[in-house]
Amino acid sequence: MSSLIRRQIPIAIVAMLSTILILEYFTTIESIDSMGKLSAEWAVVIGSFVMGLGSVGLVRRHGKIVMSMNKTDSPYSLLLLVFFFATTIMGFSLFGIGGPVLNNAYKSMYNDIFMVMSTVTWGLAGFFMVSGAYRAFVARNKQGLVLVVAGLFTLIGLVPIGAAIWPPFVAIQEWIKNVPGSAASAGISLGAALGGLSFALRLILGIERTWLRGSE
Amino acid sequence: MIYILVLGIPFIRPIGIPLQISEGTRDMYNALEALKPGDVVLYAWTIDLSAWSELGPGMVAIAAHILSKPDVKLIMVGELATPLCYERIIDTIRNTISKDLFGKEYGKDYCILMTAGGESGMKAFMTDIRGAISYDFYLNSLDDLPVMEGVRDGKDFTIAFTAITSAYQPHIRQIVDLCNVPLGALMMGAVAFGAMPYYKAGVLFSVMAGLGSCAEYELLTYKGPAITRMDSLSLSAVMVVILMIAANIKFYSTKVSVKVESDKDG
Amino acid sequence: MVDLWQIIIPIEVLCIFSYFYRDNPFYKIAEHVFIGTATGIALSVAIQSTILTGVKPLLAGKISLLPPIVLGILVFTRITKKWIWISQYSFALLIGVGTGVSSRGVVSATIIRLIGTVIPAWGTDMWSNVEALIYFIMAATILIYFLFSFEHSGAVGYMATIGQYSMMVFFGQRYSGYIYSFTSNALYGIGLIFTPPGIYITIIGIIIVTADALLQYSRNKSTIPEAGDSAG
Repeated sequence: MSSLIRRQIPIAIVAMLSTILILEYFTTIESIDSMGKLSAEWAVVIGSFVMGLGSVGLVRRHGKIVMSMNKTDSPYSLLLLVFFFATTIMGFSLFGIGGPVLNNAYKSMYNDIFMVMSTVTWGLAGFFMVSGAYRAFVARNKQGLVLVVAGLFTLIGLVPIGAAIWPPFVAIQEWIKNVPGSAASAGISLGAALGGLSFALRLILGIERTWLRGSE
Repeated sequence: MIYILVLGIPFIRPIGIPLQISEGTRDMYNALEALKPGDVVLYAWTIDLSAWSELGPGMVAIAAHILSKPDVKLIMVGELATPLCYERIIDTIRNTISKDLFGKEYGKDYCILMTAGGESGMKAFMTDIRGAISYDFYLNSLDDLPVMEGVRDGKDFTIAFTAITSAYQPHIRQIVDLCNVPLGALMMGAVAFGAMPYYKAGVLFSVMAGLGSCAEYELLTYKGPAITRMDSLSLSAVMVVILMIAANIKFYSTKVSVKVESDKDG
Repeated sequence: MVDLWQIIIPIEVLCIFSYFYRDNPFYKIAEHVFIGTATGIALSVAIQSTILTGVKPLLAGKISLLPPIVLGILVFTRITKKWIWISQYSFALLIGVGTGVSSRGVVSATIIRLIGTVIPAWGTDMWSNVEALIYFIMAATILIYFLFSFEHSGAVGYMATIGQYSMMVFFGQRYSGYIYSFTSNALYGIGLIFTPPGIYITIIGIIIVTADALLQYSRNKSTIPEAGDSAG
């Protein structure tokens, strides 16, 4: 009974809904169309709730760290929670509470803290990639040579200085992009699409059950 | 640290390396330039702002280009924090390009909508807009917005644009395949290479790659920050190429000296 | 009068870039402020989305939205070990719809269209025909490489090797693309700290880092025992 409620019924729901939505695409049966449409609308609503789930986990974790009164980590976790609650309260301006003052404060948090730090943090990876290029872009064998040559011409052809140094760099980069690069992308995309289809089939047939972890 | 300093020099003393317009940028420009009064453009499920530095200038220039066309409607849809990004785009256009937003008004000429649920939300929206959502981002009813008049589902859109950093296949499946709406994409540099087969197949009418494409679009339309960043990007590429050549020279000179020593011992 | 944010923003950027010097409290503060703000924004837009897609239409009379709202609330049972199984129903709906929606379009949107580009279309231009052949060989050999049902030996092995070389072109391009993209993202921050008023804050930051480096050096020097000190 426990296994039926905890595992079999959810697996059946996945199989049923996937089948309805696939059939909806290929048939014009009205009942299947309306069920498919309804289930997609329901997914929109549930998806909204799922967006807030991560915040709950984060507050729990950092709340525990603050309560533990750890000298090194607690102050930082407290700072995190202060900014979290402040931003959430300012976010009430989205649904008309607090007026323009709160709304401007929220926009400042978004544009001047979130946006700036998000972009700069992404940019941090660029510096590590450049130092990684020194280690990775070495032609240790024939395959490595192909990788280095493709990478070199791609990089120098993408930036304006490539055309300024030697105009054919751009033409070479375009050719690599349109012919061998595009062919390789097509092959990999096809492989990934076929892999994705087989994974979807495993989900529909109930063979893939990793999403049920924790309910056993 | 030296790398940061080298990248910073062009901001103090610009070099001014000329730009060439690429095929993808030209295709996007021509498609948007050909918009006629009454056309409806879908600004679809773009980034929220993780790659604002790379794609933001292009998103602003393209949105400004669309808004500058007379009697063309712009429907901006997103999930998570993407609607806030759209607000930023509109504010940036107001502050840097056109104070009165080319005479366009919210609700009459453009609107910001919000969905959820990823690809399921896209499918629900493109199949039946009012079935998926009944209100815009500011909780106004869709029936009260003149811009949404006559826009019932995905087939009512003339053209679609997106700016993404990773998965573009959901957009292709739900916009192009489901509703036959032409889709042009501005993508992160690395991701754009993966999308070239779709461009070749005609699924995407334009693939713009990264900051360079944004700078090119700004050259064609409204000047912005992307053009000033291209000099730094060029210097960065030169540094990486020098590092690559140096690494290979070091590797092969070490290999040769080890071989010479082992030959001597042998 | 300088806007306060014009001073705070370069400080934020420098705090994050200070990570290159060493892990330090400024970086940790910036990191935690960022995560707190980002999570707050995520929660506020999640609430907005819930009201917009569920609560308001329900209150306006769309009763069909009551089951998904209940399922949405049940999602939060995921945080408890005892009741986590209840949230599986909500996720089952999401996964079922997601799988159906994504898999039905894969065949027509991806597989058929890409096969159309891979199969060579012969024309009168010799160079186009050569390109079409290269295109076909590279794409097909990559697919053969991923066919693990057959042993990669003989003709299959030879084709799989060509597939490996084809993939190297893709990876080389991709890595360069990532360098290009991530450097583009870094330029926003670099622009902020190299243009006024950020550049004045950068100069102060460089002075602080230099002073710290000299202090660390002198501390390390004073703790290293002189030669002969340890001798009896």
